[in-house]
Amino acid sequence: MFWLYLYFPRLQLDSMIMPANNSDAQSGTEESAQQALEAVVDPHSHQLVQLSDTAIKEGLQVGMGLASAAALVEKLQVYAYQSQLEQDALEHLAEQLYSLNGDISLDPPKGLGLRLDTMGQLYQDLDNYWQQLQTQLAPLPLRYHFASATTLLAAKLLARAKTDQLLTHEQSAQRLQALPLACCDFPDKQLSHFERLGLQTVGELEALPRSELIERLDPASQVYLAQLQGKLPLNLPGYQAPEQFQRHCELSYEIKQSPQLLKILEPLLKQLEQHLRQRQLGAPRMQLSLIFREQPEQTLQIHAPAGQNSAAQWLKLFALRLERHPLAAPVYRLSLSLCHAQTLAGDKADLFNQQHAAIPASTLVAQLRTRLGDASLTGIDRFDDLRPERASVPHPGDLAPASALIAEQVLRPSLLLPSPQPLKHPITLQQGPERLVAGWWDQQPIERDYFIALSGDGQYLWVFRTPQQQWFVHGYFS
Amino acid sequence: MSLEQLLAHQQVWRGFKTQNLPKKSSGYPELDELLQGGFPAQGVTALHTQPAVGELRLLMPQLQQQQRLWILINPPALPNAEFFAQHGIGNHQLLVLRPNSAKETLWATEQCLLSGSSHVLLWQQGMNVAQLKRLQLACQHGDSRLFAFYPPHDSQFSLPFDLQLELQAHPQGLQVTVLKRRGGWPGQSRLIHFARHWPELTQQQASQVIPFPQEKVG
Repeated sequence: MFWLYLYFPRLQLDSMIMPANNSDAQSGTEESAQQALEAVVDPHSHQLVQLSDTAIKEGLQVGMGLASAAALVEKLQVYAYQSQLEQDALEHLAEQLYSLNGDISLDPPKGLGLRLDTMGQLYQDLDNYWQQLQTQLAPLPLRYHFASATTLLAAKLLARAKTDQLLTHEQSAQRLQALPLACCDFPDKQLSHFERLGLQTVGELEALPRSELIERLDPASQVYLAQLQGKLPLNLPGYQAPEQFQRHCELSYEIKQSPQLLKILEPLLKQLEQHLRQRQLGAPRMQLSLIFREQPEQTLQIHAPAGQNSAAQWLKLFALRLERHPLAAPVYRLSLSLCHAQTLAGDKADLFNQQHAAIPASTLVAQLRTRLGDASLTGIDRFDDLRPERASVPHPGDLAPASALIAEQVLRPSLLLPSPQPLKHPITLQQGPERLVAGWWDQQPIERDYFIALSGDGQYLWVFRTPQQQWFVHGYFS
Repeated sequence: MSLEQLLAHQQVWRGFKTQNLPKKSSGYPELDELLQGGFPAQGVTALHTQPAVGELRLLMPQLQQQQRLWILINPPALPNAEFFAQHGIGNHQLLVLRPNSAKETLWATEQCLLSGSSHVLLWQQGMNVAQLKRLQLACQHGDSRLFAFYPPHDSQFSLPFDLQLELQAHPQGLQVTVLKRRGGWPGQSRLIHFARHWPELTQQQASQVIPFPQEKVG
């Protein structure tokens, strides 16, 4: 077995979205020139666990207490450590690397193990593989250390020791031998025991005779050592790509304007596009939850009923929606989720007339619906029913599914009133009556005599008379 | 400046060229003759008309030719799917929009025309030259058509529509008058007979009845 381990020392800090990453947020102002000092603090021990570059430059160190840090620097932006954020970030990262490496082990909170020996057939050599991996990792704002070794645990220790090299089997064995025992995850008690024995490195520990090891190590440490040497397997669950797409975004500052929000959504939607493309799926509906500090959470649902997988189109839909409903309050956290995915219905593009079929009808309808609101959009359903108001029915919010065309020619008006209106003007009857008696089978009976009528100024109306001799207008022969 | 230069800069209007503007047959021979070939193949056509005199029926042959969406914006009533299905337009090709404001209406109209996947029937008053120009550009971009319905004798006569018609109810059909057209003279008028397409909606029978002379009564 051969493993590559990626270790992310400040995953939470790197995966949070900072104003500096978002160039539009405060560009040009003095504040962006003078970057904030940021630190992540363990809420239990009040020690600094992750520091930004600027904070390190100011003399802060990992492990320092919050009080002394505050005494050292004036402006320190502090975030509480949340292991869930790191877990999420690791999972997203694994999803991105999954296309390169099929065998990924998550090692929360800060590491990923990639098994290399099974990937040998796909990549001619290790350098080739490493180049591809780096092109995936380069655009991400993550700081990482890496190392390769025969076992996952050994690779992890070497990566944490900032080896930052791809080692061969022999090299990694040598490095591991020279690794101080303090770098390993032995319990404190065991470590002080090693110190008393005068053992400094892993190599010295391994050199001890087996009987002596059993005597001097507690059982847990024995298992750990065996896993380090590869004698016992380390059972980390292999990564499996999730069916659901969900992204949470923790902002280190508040967003008040929709353009800033769209900037943050853009990379998330690109990830969505990748997710959907790999599965040949389209998303008919996306949900964006915006979390405000004081107001209750707001959920935006955006529809593209035909299924859409392009990030650019989704971004446009979100922009249209935010144009209609601007942000109610500053946002500090958001989550984007895909409600369910469906197989992608291909739009038939005209090969010879591409510029004209620029936007497919389904995309147009989704855009109109997002901008104008569901209530402003109506398709028309057609059913085989004798009752006119049940034969042609409004289909709110979207285009109606297709029904067959009609061959028989019964004269019907082109426009139909949503509900019949009492007749108020004098008319002359032109044609009729056409008696429609229907609906006795489903408790919505009608009994009407329909006439084609002509009004004084030449308008053709479709009117009917009820058995009670009341007259109504039902449609226009426009 | 020579004549060639003037022509190159399109500062001289050449009448015969406009004859070649692409047209689409209207489906009525009389109307095709009046319009010198039919409706413009793209662009904005304004129709000044009373409601329910046959203005949509006049356009039905136009609508049938296209396999695109027909988007009706602010129609006076809902389209009847039965009628459209009889004329070869599926209910899945019909969409009704009722935007909340005039601004949204213009936005939606422009988007529909730009998309290249729909044509628009618009019932909306009040448009200025700049907005009309924008819609005409959108029509060019999407190779699409906009039919805008206005009340008769509306005050929009100065707008540069591609074609502007006035429709008047007539016992035999519709009296169509050209108010403005691109590349042609206005003022011509023709009666479009509906008897062949819509016999029930004309008053032919009345004209065929010869009134009994009063003198010969009893």
